[in-house]
Formats: sequence, structure tokens, C-alpha cells
Amino acid sequence: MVDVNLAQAIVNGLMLGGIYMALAVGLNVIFGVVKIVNFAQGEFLMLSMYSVYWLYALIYLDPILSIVLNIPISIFVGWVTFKYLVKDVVEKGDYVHIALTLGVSFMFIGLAQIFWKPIYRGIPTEYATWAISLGGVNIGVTQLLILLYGLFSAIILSIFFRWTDTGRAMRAVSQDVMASMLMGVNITKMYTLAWIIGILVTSLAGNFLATFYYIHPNVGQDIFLYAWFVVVFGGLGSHIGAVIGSIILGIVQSVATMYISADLSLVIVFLVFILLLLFRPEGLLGREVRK
Amino acid sequence: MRRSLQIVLAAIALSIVLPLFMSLYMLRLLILTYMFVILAISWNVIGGYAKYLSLGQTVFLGITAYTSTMLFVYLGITPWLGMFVGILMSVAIAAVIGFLTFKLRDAFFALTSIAIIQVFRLLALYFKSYTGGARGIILQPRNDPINFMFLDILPYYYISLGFLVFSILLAYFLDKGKLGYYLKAIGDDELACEAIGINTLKYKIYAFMLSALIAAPVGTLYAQYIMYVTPDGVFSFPHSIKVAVMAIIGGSGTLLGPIIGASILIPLEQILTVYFSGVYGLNLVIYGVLLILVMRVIPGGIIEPLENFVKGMIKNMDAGVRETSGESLKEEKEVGG
Amino acid sequence: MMTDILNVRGITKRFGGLVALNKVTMDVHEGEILGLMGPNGSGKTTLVNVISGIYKADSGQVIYMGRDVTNLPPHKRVELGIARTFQTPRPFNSLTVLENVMMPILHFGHEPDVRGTAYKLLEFVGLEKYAESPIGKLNLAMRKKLDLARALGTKPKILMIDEIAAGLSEGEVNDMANLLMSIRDSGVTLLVIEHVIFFLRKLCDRVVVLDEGVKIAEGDVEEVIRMQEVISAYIGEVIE
Repeated sequence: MVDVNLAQAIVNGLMLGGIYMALAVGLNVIFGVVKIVNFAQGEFLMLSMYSVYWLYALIYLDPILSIVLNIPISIFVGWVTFKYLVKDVVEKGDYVHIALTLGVSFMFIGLAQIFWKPIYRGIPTEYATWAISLGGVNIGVTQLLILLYGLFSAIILSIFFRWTDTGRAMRAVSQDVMASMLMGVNITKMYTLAWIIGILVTSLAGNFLATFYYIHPNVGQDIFLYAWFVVVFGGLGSHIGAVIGSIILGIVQSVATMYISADLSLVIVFLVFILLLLFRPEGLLGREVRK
Repeated sequence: MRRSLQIVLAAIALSIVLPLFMSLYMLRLLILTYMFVILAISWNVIGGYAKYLSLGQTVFLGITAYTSTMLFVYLGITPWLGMFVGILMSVAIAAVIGFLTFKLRDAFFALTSIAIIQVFRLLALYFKSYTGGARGIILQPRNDPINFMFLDILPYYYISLGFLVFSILLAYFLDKGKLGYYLKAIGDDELACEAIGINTLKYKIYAFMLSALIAAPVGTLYAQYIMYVTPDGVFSFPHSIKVAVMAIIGGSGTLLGPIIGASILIPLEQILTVYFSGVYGLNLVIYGVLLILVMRVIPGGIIEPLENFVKGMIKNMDAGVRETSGESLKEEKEVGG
Repeated sequence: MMTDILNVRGITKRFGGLVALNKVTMDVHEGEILGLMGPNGSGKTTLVNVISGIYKADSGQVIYMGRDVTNLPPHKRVELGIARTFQTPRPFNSLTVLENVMMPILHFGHEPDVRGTAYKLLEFVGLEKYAESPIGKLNLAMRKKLDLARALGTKPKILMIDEIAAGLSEGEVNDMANLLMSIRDSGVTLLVIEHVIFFLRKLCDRVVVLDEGVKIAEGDVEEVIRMQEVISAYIGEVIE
């Protein structure tokens, strides 16, 4: 006998997982290929949500439709940030990567606060309240969309990395930079491309998120943190791991929120994360790598 | 050597005498700066020397702040004593956290340190009946030196100065001692450390405990000085990042770097708040841009060019005095070739 | 009768689906210079990493002087006398040359005069002129020597040397071979992982050959490099 409340909590968790998934997939590409821990990933989501917001506010463009415009914008943002901020430090260690991307994150949050003020904004879409009802369990259409987007991007990227030449070259780079260089792969090009893909996947999540979520300079920070937990949880570089990880973390959080408390649910998420890292540092589906 | 001792003594004398003639605003600024300098020094032990990027460093401040304040409010134990209980707890918790997390490197450790400070913050929010939840615990101002409470600001100033000197002394002995060598080596190459027989886990835990010991007293000082403790105020992720950023900008892994970083950034932040109070977010932009610049141009931090500048000045001064300077230059050239 | 200082018993190590070492068994006799050769990716360095404890083997044992050390952490093995150098030297960049060598001596504390002992080791490898220099002043050969001196600072009984000739000029390789022989003469057993055959010829008493994680040959250098299996394993690579 499945309790309706429990079923609802699980469904909510699944949707929550969808948000994390959409971000985690982008993080994973960047970490997998460029080996950069991007602490500014959440801010790219934030910037994207603002461009979605302004496209709506200024020319009344629907958040989902504005994907068409957001694609070139995000590619441009990704290209510029890589070229002028990240490129020269790729060869440096994690320490420099974290500090630099933290700097980028601060700068973006600060600029967003200056230009757009730290106020909560939202886009009142008609379909924000639409829901599918299944035996007493409600599924929000907008949340469902972002979950589908997360799954879709994970699948597309898996196909890309497995079945296309560029994707295979990128995987080669992620495994052995020297060898790929000797084989004639243009490393910088691969890094640039991977960075742009990572930013693009995360940015487009902003289109879906903006249909029901608040828009605020700090919006990227919390989500980013959970997305990172998902990536580590699922195993770095593994897209399936990211999918499973985000669903598990989302459900844990949602069920714990319903049955214990919202504050403690996060404590449980963090503790699950810490425990997993301790006993399986390579993540659920990650592999030990040859040093 | 003797010259630097003279400078230190002069600095201490100045920081004892000058405050007697300072405005309230200046004293407040100094106390705030001292507290952040101590935290940056504490961060530097683990983040600078061992290169383990802790992004939850104020967790120790929070533990001590809550411990001494709760002991005082519920059991009437003086915060002077509560502070030591808090320090003990911080150091013990550092040992446990260190044991659990120092198998993780780089980004994993950074993320776990964020997770840990969030756990403490959320627990403090959740156990409302003890901690007062989001509103925290509020103290009533009164003049009661036995219980670490003063109506005048000067005692707070001298206490923070005392803590500052204590932390700089610890940092100095760390930098010159065996543990400092170990941590620098760990920060350079952990695998190479293991390869020469160093139990890296052990020294990282020691370092984290030392780092907690340096940060912890600030918790009680902070609580008694601003007279309240809240989860967001002490288990603060933004403050923790700020502490790390200040040390990195100043120059991580050096004795003076964190001191310089915090001494520049806190006053700068205050000045900006005064002149651009309407522009919310400007501080963040400046921190961000500085961090990007330092990482791209001078990864060693502000101290690098500063040190070269000072060295150059001393060399110029000594050039006329010493006859051997030509010889030593030649030697250096040989080595370089 | 020769005694063994190290026995490797049926070591298997997998990375995901890749079998890096497949049931490798070998013995190192006390006082010898044993060469470990094989083409790139044959598992030589992985074996060193298993012996030094950086990797945990999936199965098999590492026996050191009759004692099972399979489950000891790396630093404990160093304490017992198993030391190593790295393929790419890994100096501590924020310390000076002398301080690098001081680290193990400081750590083990069996010498009262830490600086003096470290300086003697630098003299032994010929780097005493650079004692107070930063690491940046050293070229590759010097860094490799520094790695050696630092490893000697742990007072090893067996020293594993990972591709020390790679990237060096012929003169430097000869110089290095002489240095290794004087290390052996001081009573340290050497396990030399190497690619360069003339270096192995000059140096080794015996060699073991790995190919794709499997031991394919063992014995006298001259005999081994004439074996068909060894030649075919090296096809595509220049032996000499």
C-alpha cells in the first residue's frame, strides 16, 4: 500500500532531482574534459535566467521560446569567459582553478546585484500552475519539463561522447592529454568546446527553471552546491551517474522534508554526501583512475 | 633579523598606545580587521601551507561562539572559561573532521568543507529551543569584566590585539618549525611526501587542529563584542569564503600574506561601504576581480611584488655598505647558468 | 646462498576494465640491481606503485624481508626501508634543494645533524653547489639526482628507480649509471625500471620483462633481449 504523501514526496524529489541533473550534466562535461572545478557554474545559470527574464520583460518572449535566442547568447558567454578568463590557467592545479572560478562567481553575483538589485523576480507563465494528476499525485508540468531536459541532455551528451569524432577526441583528451596532442588533436579547441558545451547545457536549464523558479543574483549558489554533490555522488565524468545521483539526492531531500523538516533534510543530504565520499570517494559509478 | 624585531616591537607599541587617541569608528574597524586577520591566519595553516582549500573555516568560530554563549546563558559559566571549553571542542571537532575528510583532495575537500559548515548552520537553526533558531541568542550589554562584557570598546580592542599577537606567534612558530616544513611539502606534492615516509594524514590533522585553535578564540570575542550569536552570523559560508580569499589575495602559504590581505581588504570594504553604500554588490565585484587578477598575474599574492620591492630597497641601501655584494651576485649568476 | 629482500606474489591490479597487472610474481635478491623492463603501458610503474603502496592491489601479496606488507600504507613501507623515485621528479618546489633532502632526515630523526647529513647526500649525488638554490635552478638530470638524494635520506634497504635515464643525454645516462652502482655498493638493493637497453646492460645483474601486465621473461640481460617474446613485445619501439 503506497501512501499518497510518500508517493508525492518521491515525485517531488524526482522533479527536484531534475533541476540538479540539468546543472550536474554541464559541470560534468567541464570537469570531465577540461579538469576544471568550476565554482562559477551556478552563476552561468543565474546569468542565463536573467537573460530569459529580460527577454520576457522587454519583448514578452516566452521562457521556453527564448531558448532559440539563449543558445547563441550562451555560446558567446561561454566562449568569451573561456578565452579571456580560463584558458591561461587550465594547466594550473585545482587550487588555482577553484580560486579563479570563485573570483568569476563573485564578480558575476556582484555585477548582477549592482545592475539588477538583489530582489526576487519571477516570470508569470500561464503554464506554471499546470499539473498532471496521477492517482492523487500531482506532477507540475514545468518541473516535468526540466526533468526531461536533464535526461535529454545527459543522453545527447553520452551519444556525443561515444559516437562522434569530436566527442571521441574529447574523451581522448580527458584520458591522456599528451597522447592526444601527439595524435594531432587540437587540445585548446577541445577545451574551448567542452567549456562552451558545459556552459550551454547549464544555461538552457535556466530557460526551464525560469518558468517556475525565482530569479535572483544568488540563485546559482545553492543549486550549484547541490549539483556538485550530485556530480561527486554519481561519479565524476559519468553522465548516468549524474542522472542517478541527482534523482537519489532529490528524493532523499524531498522525503526528508516531508517527514522530518526542511532544515534537517539538507543536513541529511550533506551527511549522505559526506558518508559516500568517505566510503566510495570515486562516487557511485566513478572509476579509480591511473595516476 | 634585529631590524625586523625592532619593527615588530614598534608595531606592538603603536597598537597599544595609538588606540587611546582613536575614534570609535576607527577602533571598530581595527577590531574587525584583527578578527579577520586571525581567521585568515587560521585559514592559511591548512589552505595556504598544506593547500587544502577550506571553504568553511568559520565553523570553528561558530562552535566556540555557541559553546561559550550557551554555557553562559544557561549555566552562568563565565565566557572566559566557556571560551576554553569552546576551543577544546573546536580542536576536537577539527580532529574528527580532519580524520574523515583529509583522504579527499582538492575540490572534494573544498566541497566537503562547505557541506560541513552548512550542517552546523542548519543544526543551529533546527535546535531552536537551545540556540534560539534564526534569531539566535542575544546578550544584554552591561559592564561585567568577569563575564567578558564591557560597555567601553577599549577592552575589546586590547583583547582582540592579544588574540592577534597570540595567533601571529603561533603562525610564526609554524612557519619556522618542523610542522611548517611538512605542510609546505604536503602542499607541494603529497605523493612525494608519502614516498619519503611522511604520514601526511597525521600532519594534515595536526594542521587542522592548529588552524581550529587559532580561529576558535575569535568565536567568544565575536559573541561578547557584538552581543549576539546567530547561525547565519557565525556558521557563515560567505564569511568563510571571504577569509580564504583574503589570505589568497595577500599571499597564501606565507607568514605575512594573510595579515596583509585582511589588513587591506577589510578597511577597503568599509571605505567602499561608506562611499558607495547604495551600490550593493560592489564589494563582491572587487573581491572577484582582485581574486581573478591575483590568480592570473601573481599567484603568490600581493606579498610577492611587495617583498621584491622591500628587498630591492634593502639591497639598494646595503649596496654601498657591503663589499661582498658583488661576489654574491656573481655566485648567483653561476648557479643560474 | 642469496636471500630475497622482496617477493611479489601474484599481484593483479585492474583499472575499470583494464588489467594493468596480471598475476605478476617476481623476487628481488638482496644486494642486486634488478632491471624491470617492458614497453610503454606494460605495467612497470603500476607495479612500483603497488610495491610502494600507492595503489592497493586487487589480489596478491607484497612480501618484504619475509613480512607481508600488502596492507601497509606507503609511509609505513618507507619506514621499513622501501623507497622509490618518480618517473618525473617530484621535488618540493617551495623548499630549497638542501631542504628537500632534509625532509626525510628531519622526519626519521635518526641523525642529530640534519643539515650536515643532507649536505653529505647532496655531495654524494653531486649537487652540493646548489644546496641553497630554489628548485627552479635545476635541470632535469639534477632534479633526478635530487629525487635520488631525497630517497636516500630515508635510509632505504631497497630503492625503486623509475625511468631515471629517460630524457637524459648519453653522458648524463652514464653518469647516472655510475651513481646507481655506487648506491648499490653502499648496500642498497636496486629495482631499476627502465626503457633504455644500454643502460640496463651496463647496470643490471638480472632483468624482468613485463608486457601488457604479464611477466613474459626473466633472467640475464643478454639472454632476455634475444628472446622472441621480448622482441615482439617491443615491436614498433626502438630497442637500442
